[in-house]
Amino acid sequence: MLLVDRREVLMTAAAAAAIATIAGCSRSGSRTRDDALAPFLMILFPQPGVDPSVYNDVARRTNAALQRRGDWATLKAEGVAALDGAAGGKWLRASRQLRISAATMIADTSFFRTVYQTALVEFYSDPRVWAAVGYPGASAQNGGYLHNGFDDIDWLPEAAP
Amino acid sequence: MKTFDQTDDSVVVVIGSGAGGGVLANELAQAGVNVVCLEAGRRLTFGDIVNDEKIMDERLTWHDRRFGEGILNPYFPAWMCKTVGGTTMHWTGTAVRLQAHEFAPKTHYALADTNAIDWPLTRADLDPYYDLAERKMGVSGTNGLPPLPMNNNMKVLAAGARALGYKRVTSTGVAINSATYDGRPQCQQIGFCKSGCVIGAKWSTLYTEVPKAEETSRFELRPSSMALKIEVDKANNASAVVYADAEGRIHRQRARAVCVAGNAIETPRILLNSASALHPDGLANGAGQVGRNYLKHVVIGALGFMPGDVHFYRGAQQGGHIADEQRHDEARGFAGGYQIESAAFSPLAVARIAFAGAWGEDLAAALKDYNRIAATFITGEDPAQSGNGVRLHPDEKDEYGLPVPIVRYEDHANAEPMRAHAERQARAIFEAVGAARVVPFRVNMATHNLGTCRMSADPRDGVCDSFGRAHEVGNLFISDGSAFSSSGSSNPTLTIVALAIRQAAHIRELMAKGDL
Repeated sequence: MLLVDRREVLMTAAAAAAIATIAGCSRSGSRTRDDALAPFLMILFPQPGVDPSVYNDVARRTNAALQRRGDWATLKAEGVAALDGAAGGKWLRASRQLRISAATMIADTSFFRTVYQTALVEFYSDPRVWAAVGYPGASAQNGGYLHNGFDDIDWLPEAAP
Repeated sequence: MKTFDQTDDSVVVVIGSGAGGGVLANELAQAGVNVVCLEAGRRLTFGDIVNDEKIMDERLTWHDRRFGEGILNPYFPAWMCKTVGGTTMHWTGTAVRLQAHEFAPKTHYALADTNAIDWPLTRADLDPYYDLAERKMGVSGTNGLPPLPMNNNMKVLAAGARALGYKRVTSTGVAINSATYDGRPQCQQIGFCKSGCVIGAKWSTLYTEVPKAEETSRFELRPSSMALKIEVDKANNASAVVYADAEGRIHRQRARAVCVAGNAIETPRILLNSASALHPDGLANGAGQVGRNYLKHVVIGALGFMPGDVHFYRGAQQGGHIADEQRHDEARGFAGGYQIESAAFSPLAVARIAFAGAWGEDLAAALKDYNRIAATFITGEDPAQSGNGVRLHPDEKDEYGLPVPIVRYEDHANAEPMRAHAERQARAIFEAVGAARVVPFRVNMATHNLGTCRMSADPRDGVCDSFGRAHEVGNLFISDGSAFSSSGSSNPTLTIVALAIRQAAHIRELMAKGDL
């Protein structure tokens, strides 16, 4: 099933900055084979308001989690090669539209599924992502919502009793 | 704290400390019976319970290796807990009585291709014990407790339901304190019910039944004690339980009687792993019914993207329900009914469960509107099928060398028309109060695990009688949801508790008569 909305979407400034940092001529000069992971996560989870540093952190955590698989290095190399192939050149240098199309084309691969399943949990468990979607997380330390808006809805039509 | 010698055969050994085992153990101890409770999981304190789904998943969830077949997840077929308190730690508190007709599905439902039987007891038989269960648990709307105040999410569901003409919309029937009760505080609408209640407002055996039993000095809890095998002597009495402690050391506790409450996967597994000369196909399995007839409810969920903020994470994750569709009315195109509940999800749960498999702009756009989501979870009657169940893996063994379980579940033909009807109604509910978009989703993983050692009037149809006493072994009892003869449409915990209270009274009677 094609789950990606193929509309042309403007890349957020934050995402653009991250890709420039990671994919471009790196200031730190410490480019590794991991470089594709954070930009790939930006295609998977293009959540508005999430800072590029979050994608870098999630990429690092995802990479660390998947290192426990013996075949991760191979899987990743194959995945990046598949993305490059699908993009008809360097996936990292392709337009956002083309990167989305390439990701869609490899969505049935083991690389895609493995990264997706692991990174989804890491990404949407990150408090900085929660902040971007408006979820405050733990509430016990603030005494819960009993006196703080648990029933403050004000737009519902008056219901008959 | 009371301790019992392993050679002490005066004790009733209860396997499991959740809704079934925890309640049964306390009821027996209160009545003067010596009890040793073997719990596979660790004992947490309130300090261990935090508002963090990931951490609490590690602390609560049963992650031992299992396999799923049919429509179940192949590596995580069912969600349950491995901790003192069992699934009363992650349950969401909905505590509703099964309906009279749900005790007699074979009589009432014209369904082909089922292995359905009627329960060997009626709603009227169980009502006095439902009364006791509701008092024990502090169920809202009973025993002077007000309904749980409705949070925003439940208010949306209630308003939509009333707009459709539904009448039985309520926030009674929740075992979360709507006022201070039994020494536990009023619900502070914290959320995170599924991660364990940090203040103990939600009923759980961890901080009710277990400490109360300990106060009797007739009860010993042994946490981190994984029951492996039930031994039967030459006279066909369950005489001991073999278990492993946290260090993997093997122990053998003698027993006057054995009550199994390990949830509907581990309960049949331990019986099947307890085959002997007298019970070559597994303990109490002469009729071949141990592990069969696994029930898990027909389940769907739906998200409504509403015109204003809901903040559905605020407060009780399930804060009420709608009962109108729980009637049996074959004009709807299916047998049995379904219950509509409010439900709340973290961003991860929205992504992983409601939008399973989605990525890119679709997923991001949905999460962008996280605060406008209202949600419902729907559980429906699940007809018994002989092929759905738990069996032992032919090759794969656990760390103790025992075969791991394989759980199989396929839908009955009744499920799809029920789901389709429930999806239409969920959509109509949210649209009636202005939803711009409704996203129904399917959930195949089970948290209501039932039926695998069921009660039956005829010993050929099940494993135990109406008191949970095994047909084939007089001092062996099934004390959890495994004993259900049918699923009904409501959450099972209240019924498990009522049955455990009834079973405890029966065990006392048998002992008084010299029958046990």
